[in-house]
Amino acid sequence: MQTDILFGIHSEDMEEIKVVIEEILGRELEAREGFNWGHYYCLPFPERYLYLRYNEDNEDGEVMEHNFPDYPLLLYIYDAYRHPNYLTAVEARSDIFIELRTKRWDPKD
Amino acid sequence: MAASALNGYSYQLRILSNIKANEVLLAALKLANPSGNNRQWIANLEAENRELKSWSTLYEPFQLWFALKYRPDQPRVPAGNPDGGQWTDDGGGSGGSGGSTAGGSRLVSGRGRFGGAIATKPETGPKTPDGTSVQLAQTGGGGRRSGSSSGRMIGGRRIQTTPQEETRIQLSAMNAEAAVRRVQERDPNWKPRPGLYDSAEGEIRNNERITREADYRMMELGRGAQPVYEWTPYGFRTVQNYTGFRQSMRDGLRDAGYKDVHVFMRGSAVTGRNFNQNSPFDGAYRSDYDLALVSPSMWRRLNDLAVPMRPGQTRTAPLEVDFLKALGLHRLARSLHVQTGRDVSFMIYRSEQDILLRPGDYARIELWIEP
Repeated sequence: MQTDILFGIHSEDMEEIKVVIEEILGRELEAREGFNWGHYYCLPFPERYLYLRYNEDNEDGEVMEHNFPDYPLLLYIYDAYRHPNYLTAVEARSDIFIELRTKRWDPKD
Repeated sequence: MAASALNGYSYQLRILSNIKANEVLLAALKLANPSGNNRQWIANLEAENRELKSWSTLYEPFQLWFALKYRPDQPRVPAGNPDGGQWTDDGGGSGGSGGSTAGGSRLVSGRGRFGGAIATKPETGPKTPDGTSVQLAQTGGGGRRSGSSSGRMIGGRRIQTTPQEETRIQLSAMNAEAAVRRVQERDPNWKPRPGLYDSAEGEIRNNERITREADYRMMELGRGAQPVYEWTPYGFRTVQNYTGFRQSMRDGLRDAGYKDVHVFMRGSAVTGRNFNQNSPFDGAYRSDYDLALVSPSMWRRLNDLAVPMRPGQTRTAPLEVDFLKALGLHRLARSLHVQTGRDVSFMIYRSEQDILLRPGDYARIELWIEP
């Protein structure tokens, strides 16, 4: 099973949170931009399992995660238990990262 | 003379040329001393022109085209510009052949790198009557409907022209536009090279060159040349890279069982500029590819899968990996990610119309690929 976890962040300062994440993971994040997600950070290519994003639709400013409108920033960790050290590091800073949602699903074909 | 010969294009051009030459001569005669000989000559020429006009299928369209084409109030490129004196759009774009398709994509909207090149979404500014807006030689100066020889703006300067030159310029421009239009019926993105000129003769030669280029392109197309493959999204170094992307898309969707998908690209890969910050593609940050899929069969599955929707229920949120998996698109997403070195995000729209109603430009990605 794959587990994807969404964390909410009360801060609006993406640059500050990016530095925090880099410190706790010991990894540098890359800045990206897209039409759907706007400006965001993630681990370098080809890693696709950690994303720091605004909780805002780049097109119209609507909240992206409707169930969690109070969190300006979101941290998505996909297949979280495959990277337990990253998950542990994030969970250790529960003063910043609030666990909002956990999805478990079967990635097998 | 046989009707088919009378209707031949070259023959009709000769008739039109004779009418216009007679009109020039008539205008000169009417300004001259009204002697008996001149009056007779005028009467003969007018009779000849009446007969010629009765045969001509081009005269009335030409008059209409000429009247519409040279609106005195139409904005022009300012003097000092290489295109000075030429007509320009009201809206700043370069115009284009509406509704045309590229080999691999069709751009909708008129901004960004391709602004106006193959625009279909909201078009502004006047167009020539035939819809083409190639950089044909244009008359300049206001109030030129009379066809008098008061001169024309060429290269930002007023150039004196003779009535004969005026007629030749008009005919050469009409020939060039007709030739370009014939090519664009088969090769919508083809355009002649822009040309510079600084005299009436230069303008005529430029129009004749455009006609030759168009005729040559028609010959190439007749020999099996492929239409111009003009457009590739930003980020693809070569057309081949983009073709590979399209092939992966086509194969991935086919393998996932979708036969009714239309794929569109949105965002800076289309416009070359970031939607909010206006920074260049890959400028401040590495840019994603943002795809919009329209597929009735995919759309029907969304309810069952409880895929999150955006307000208005006309499109999903960007699909996360579990929903990509549920829709059978996860392999395709992974493949495109590896192939492009970029994040490729997917959203599903109810219809193309719903994409059209969203802000920003988009381009259709043609999945049919030339063998």
